[in-house]
Amino acid sequence: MAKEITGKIKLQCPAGQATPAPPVGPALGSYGVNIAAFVKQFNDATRAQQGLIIPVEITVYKDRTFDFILKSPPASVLLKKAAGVESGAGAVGTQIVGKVTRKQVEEIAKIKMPDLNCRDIAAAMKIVEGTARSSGIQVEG
Amino acid sequence: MNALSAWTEVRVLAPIGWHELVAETLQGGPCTSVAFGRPSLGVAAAPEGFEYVRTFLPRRDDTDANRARIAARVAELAVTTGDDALAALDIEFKPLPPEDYATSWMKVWKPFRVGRLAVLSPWTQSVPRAADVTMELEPGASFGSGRHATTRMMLRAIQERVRPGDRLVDCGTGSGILAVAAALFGAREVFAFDTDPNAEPNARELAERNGVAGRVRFATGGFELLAGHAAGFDGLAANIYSDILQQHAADFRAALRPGGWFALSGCPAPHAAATDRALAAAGLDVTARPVRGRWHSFLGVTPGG
Repeated sequence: MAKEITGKIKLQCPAGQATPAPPVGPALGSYGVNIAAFVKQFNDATRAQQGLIIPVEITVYKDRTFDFILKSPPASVLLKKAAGVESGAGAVGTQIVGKVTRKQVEEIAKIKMPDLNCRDIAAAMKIVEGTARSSGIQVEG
Repeated sequence: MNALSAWTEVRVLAPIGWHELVAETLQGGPCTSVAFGRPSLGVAAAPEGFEYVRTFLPRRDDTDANRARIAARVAELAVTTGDDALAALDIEFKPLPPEDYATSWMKVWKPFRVGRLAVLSPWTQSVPRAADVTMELEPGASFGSGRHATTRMMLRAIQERVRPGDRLVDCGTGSGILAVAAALFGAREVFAFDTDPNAEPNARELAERNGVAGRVRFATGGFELLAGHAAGFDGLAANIYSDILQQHAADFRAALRPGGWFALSGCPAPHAAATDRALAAAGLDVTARPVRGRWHSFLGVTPGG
């Protein structure tokens, strides 16, 4: 089909638990997109990742149909995974819950660069390191 | 969620790069999801280097205590990250009018007619004319809701060309709307394919909803699926990109029996001449070129028959 794009919508929703409530409803509704269809398909596609927040980019076509792609998990999720911890700091900024190496930070920065809109790897690493500190994860090395 | 519900938008102007962390910070507590970007064209675009991050509080949770808690979490970011770019972020709380988001989007989907085909939505009460061929279509993922000029031109071309007993192929079927329309107008058998793996389940659902699943076969893949179908079809529909039309003109010719008809669309005006040349070079005799807006279609037959 000759797809003509009207807009792109970027959201972060809980895996398997999106609902028509905001932000999904107003974001898609303003384009006349079938919200129930998006919610069902997003939840089906992310059910296995329940408990995570999943970034999603929705492309809306001129005839009000859509498709979507799931993006890489937020940097904090990748950091926690790399550090082998279940959750971030209990008391933000004061409690260290895990550690990652600078090499791991660089790997995560590479994965996240397209989503973070950083101009280079150094800028992306700076954000990943800041996210680590904010999540109670210490960067070693 | 079937009733009106009221929400408050929480909007933060975040430095690009930090927008995901700001989103995560907002997602604690009663807020569960976020949107990036401005809420509507009526709102000024974010300044260079910034992005709007927006989440939503159910109105019952929009209390002074919750606002203070959210503002405090955002304010802490400069300290916890050690980056001054996150100091003094602009945060706004904006109550939204109540709305039933589960159903409000349906208002824009009205029934429509192309020739004798009446396309109805499941939630609309419409009484078709006696001579109408009706299709019930719930728009969703996969292009092809009938709201695009190219789809409408193709729907008209198909109903004018399909003869009872025809065997057709629909290349790039999307939602399946053209394949299902062909079956509704009497095609004995339709083979429809699309490279998008999301298309097949949506198209199959459309065929089942309209009672023609037994006569339409959907597959996921490209033109390689036409191998083994040489001269096998009475008609061919393809509403795809113009460069694909040009590249596969010879495949169209090969798939059609002598004298078989074709209906092609998806070609914007600047590419019409090149597409015309590619079709002629493949031996496809274009007899009509409907145009709607900037979109061109090509209708014709193969030699012989």
